[in-house]
Amino acid sequence: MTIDQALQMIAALAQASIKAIESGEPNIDLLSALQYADDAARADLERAIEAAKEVVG
Amino acid sequence: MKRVIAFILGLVICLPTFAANLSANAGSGGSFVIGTLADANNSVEMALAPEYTRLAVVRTRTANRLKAIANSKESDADAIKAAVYAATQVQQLADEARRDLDGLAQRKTVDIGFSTSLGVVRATIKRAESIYDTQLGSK
Repeated sequence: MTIDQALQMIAALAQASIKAIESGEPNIDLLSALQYADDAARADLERAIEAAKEVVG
Repeated sequence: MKRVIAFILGLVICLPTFAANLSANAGSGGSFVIGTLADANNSVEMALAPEYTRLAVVRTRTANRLKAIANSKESDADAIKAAVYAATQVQQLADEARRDLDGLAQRKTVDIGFSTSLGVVRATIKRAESIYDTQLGSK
């Protein structure tokens, strides 16, 4: 596992833990947090692709 | 990058205190022990979490590298077009892997069929990572 992969998982664990604590759930939903992270990464890549296309016309 | 690491480490360090406070408010005596351990043994979640992580990271790396190439004064049009082509391939492979992962996430148990399907997903993610490494990461 690379450093950025480890940090990504830590961030998802922290996010899911906070959500579980705030909602009073005994267990975290890690996959939902990771799916949310991938959704954000996908949107960022899509914007980067469109921006790069505009640069070359 | 250092700011991100510092933020996450700070979050992780502060989280147990935050949790203990919430638990104390709930009347459990300040302990972080809430709920039972029975539901925590989710083998599907444990099997899929690393693959979702790889997906998000390969997309993030690709986006950052593409932005750097597109904004560099040293990049000519051909280099940017090649980077866009590679990034589009990464996005398509990641989307394919994501669809399959979401399907596997609906399963309740890890059996032979699950493991076989997960192997296919891993291969798809590996192809995306290889495209990043060979066409974007090393430039």
